[in-house]
Amino acid sequence: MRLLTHNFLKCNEENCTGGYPLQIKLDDTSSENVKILEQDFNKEFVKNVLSKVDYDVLYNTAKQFGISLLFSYTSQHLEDEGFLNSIHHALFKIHIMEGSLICPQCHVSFPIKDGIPNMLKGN
Amino acid sequence: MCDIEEATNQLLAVNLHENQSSVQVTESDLRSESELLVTIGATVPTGFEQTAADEVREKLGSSCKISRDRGKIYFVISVESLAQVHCLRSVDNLFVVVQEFQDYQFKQIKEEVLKDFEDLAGKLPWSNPLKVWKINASFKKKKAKRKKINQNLSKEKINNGQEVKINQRNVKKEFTSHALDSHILDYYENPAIKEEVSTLVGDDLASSKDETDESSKEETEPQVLKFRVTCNRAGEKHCFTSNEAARDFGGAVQDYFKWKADMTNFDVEVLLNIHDNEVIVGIALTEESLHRRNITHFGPTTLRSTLAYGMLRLCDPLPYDIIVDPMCGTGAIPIEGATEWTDCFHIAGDNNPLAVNRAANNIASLLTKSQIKEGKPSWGLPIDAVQWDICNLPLRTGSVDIIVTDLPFGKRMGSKKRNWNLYPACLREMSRVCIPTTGRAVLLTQDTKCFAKALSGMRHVWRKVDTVWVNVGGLRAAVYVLIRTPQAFVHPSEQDGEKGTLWYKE
Repeated sequence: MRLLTHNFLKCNEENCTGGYPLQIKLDDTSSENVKILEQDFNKEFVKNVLSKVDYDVLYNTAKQFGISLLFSYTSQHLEDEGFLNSIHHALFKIHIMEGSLICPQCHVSFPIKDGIPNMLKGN
Repeated sequence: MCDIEEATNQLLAVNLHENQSSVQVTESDLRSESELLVTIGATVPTGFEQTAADEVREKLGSSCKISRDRGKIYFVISVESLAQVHCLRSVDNLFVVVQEFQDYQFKQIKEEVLKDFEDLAGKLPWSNPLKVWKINASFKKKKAKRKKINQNLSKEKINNGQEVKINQRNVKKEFTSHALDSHILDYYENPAIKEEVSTLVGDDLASSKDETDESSKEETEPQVLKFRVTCNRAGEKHCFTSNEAARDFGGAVQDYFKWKADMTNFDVEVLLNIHDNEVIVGIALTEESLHRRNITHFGPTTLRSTLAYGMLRLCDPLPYDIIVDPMCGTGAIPIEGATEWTDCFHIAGDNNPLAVNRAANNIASLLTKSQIKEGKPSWGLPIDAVQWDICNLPLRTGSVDIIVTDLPFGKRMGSKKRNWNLYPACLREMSRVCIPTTGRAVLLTQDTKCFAKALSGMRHVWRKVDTVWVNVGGLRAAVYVLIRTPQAFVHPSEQDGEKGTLWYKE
């Protein structure tokens, strides 16, 4: 699961409001709980997808994985390849393999196994 | 650029060279090799003739004629483009047209009709189509060689610790059962029109079958070609069967070329397509249908890749779109999307853990294929998989551009009764996550009655703009194209829209 996908996921438990963003907790017992995979860098894609993601959430989540993005950006930054590359890395190249997603509101935990989060109720 | 394009270029260069050194070559021969125009016929999923024609125009620059015989399109290309034709994603099978008769006059007496077919064999312009067939055959040899290497390598890579099997026998079994399905009577066809498929039975005409290996075939050029004739006949006024036509036409073809007839191990497959008064003679360019190309792990209701591609085209994906399949099954649609629309991001979801695992395995197989092809260590495709419940999607409100899925038909998966509750719930949840005004959904279902009813209650959020009638495994189905209205999603329990469902970002 990439951070891009994580950016769109929210808690769907009944009566849970504001279950976004989900906190990522890695499984420390696993040998490879995070993978970094190369991905074609598409400048236009990164520029445009930025407007679809919640940037604050991305900033904070990326920090958790040692990526320090710019706290905020302006339209000028959108032409800076260094900035776009860092966004590309954060959104696409980090794959969460083993761990869980925890709702900040109701504290339900959704497991992530083999890169696939299980968002079904009653976990 | 496809690898097979390189093969064509090499082969064309070889052919030209041969011509140059030959004494008998004329200037027109030299010129005609490279400028050779051929008419290609393609079978496409019924109902998607227009989307296929659009793809042809987009990728080959040729305009298409859509045949009265549904599920077929025709276009003209130069031989140099033959490799690109194989890159088309919306076609199931390809053939080169030998001759087309728009208004064939069938005689009234069977013996006379069949005699006409026999005479026809010797009068057709076989030469150019056979050249095309030959060029095409060389692609297949290269592809088959590469496929074997790929499969062996990917078996090693994937069998690490996972209970994943690329079982080739299962692959073939699933394929043949679906191939047969498509010959089952099409509901949409006029029941008065009989449709038959027949192939020339080679038993009495064939001599000993050689059990030659594929590799030995490559080394020694076969002296005598083996062939078979497949006749598709549809129409009310014919006084003969496809069996008879295939047999007599095939007999004449054999006399003319001195080829050997062989049902299973053929080199050349001659097609005789008859639809009312339209007769088209062709030579097949594809052996196995292209439609299983992305899926190595099948599920019970895996969608044809060509159908998945057609549905995605109907979505009209724009670059940077977020495309979600919330009931992805084996992932046929999102995988087709991730390979063909690489500038979008695809999310494949399903509630069934088996399905999500199969989808993930199919993605992994694709990764392996492209790893070998491009020599890249491990690259990601723009697709992620999530396990979720369609009726309660864990996605932010108004965050998705496109929803494209194959709704449970209620025949092989789920049940009709269940659909009465499921369809409205799906449409509601999909309208929540889809971006108002610009969002759209393309949904396939066989339970059209239930879908129409469910949609009628959702006109404030979904507007239907198109319906494409298709045939899926012998069942009549429809693909609905919906646009999300500007109406923002309001939680049914909300009064003032105060509860914290997020708005989409402006």
